[in-house]
Amino acid sequence: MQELVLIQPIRAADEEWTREAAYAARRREFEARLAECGPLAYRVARGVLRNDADAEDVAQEALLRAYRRFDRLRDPLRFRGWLVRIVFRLALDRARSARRRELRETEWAQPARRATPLNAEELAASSEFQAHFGRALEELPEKLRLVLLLAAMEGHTLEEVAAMLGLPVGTVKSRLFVGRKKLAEKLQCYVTNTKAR
Amino acid sequence: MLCDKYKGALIDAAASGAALPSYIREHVDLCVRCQGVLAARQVVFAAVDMGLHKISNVELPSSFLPDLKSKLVAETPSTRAGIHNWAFVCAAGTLVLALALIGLPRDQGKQIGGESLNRTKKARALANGLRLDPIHVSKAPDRIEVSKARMPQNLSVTNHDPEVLVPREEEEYLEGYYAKLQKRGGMNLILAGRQEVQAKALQIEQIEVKELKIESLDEQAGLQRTNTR
Ligand SMILES: [Zn+2]
Repeated sequence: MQELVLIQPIRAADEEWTREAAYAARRREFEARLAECGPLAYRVARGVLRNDADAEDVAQEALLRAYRRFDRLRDPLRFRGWLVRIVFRLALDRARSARRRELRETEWAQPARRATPLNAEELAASSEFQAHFGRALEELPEKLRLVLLLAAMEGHTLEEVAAMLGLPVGTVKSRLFVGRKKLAEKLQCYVTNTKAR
Repeated sequence: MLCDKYKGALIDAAASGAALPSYIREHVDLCVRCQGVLAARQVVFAAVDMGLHKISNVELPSSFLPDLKSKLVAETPSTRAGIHNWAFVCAAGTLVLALALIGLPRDQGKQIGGESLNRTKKARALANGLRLDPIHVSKAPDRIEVSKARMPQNLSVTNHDPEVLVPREEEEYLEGYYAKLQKRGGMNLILAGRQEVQAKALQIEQIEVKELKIESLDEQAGLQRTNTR
């Protein structure tokens, strides 16, 4: 049988155009946040992954997810907190699969105890220290690692980090202190217990 | 030994940069071993902070934001319009199916019993129930647009795609709308000629009516239970 349906095309088209205008406005609002939140997402991912391409992938994926949920994340502070957590989580997942491959290929190389003391700048600049530092950071508990990365970002106060993560400032301070101590213990083999220059 | 006893305090002092308590300070000033421990830890903590700063403040690659913005543009319309198109197709399909299920016995009754059913009224009631716009079958040919005939010759041929009839003045908008949908791989549109969209009696063969019960149109529930054959 044949049925004839009359729709009202003007209204339907109008609704669609209105909707698309709303999407465009939403996208512009989101893009305005990217100047600040793009680097934030990338740096968190890069801090976990230590690889530019992987960090870029993960940060973009996290930002796209944030965009899809943007209606519920309009509050800037809530948005940043949500973004940081999702990018950190995605980066950890990516790092885990990468690490499984890596561990099969290389052993944890313990550096030989240095005979001569270094100053901090020389130490931080050495490629051996940097590689060891990255792995030491990777071995830290996640909650310490995220606080260390966020607190080290330029322009972040401890109060801002606390607000982003929904933690008391005291908890952030304590995680920062414990995290740095754990890193220093792991990297202590780079200096001898003689008076540094 | 005091050196072992104070080691923890030396590490904490190196970590926080805070001053040592005076009784420990006095010992450290006299003890070369503790001075070595404190200095080495201070170097490590400073290197750790430099490492953290370096790792946490990498520059954003120049392609990052342009890439992301193009992904955002691609993201919105396709996903949303896809949902919109499907919602429209599903609603239209449901309407046609409902009409097919309910309308057939009525048409048979009309033909056999001679009772005239007001299909426009029935369809409007159904359409309202589905929150769609009303349905009309042409009784006033002036309101039906004539153009681009690609319509099957016999309207009673089984075809479950809905045709869309619009007043002449709205045809342009409709074409624009459908062109947009089709660009996204959405729907097909057949514009029918005026002459061809005339109500015809249904050609139904081999129908045997054992019992026919006709109920008021206002009783939608009753329609479902109409028993023909
Ligand atoms: Zn001592």
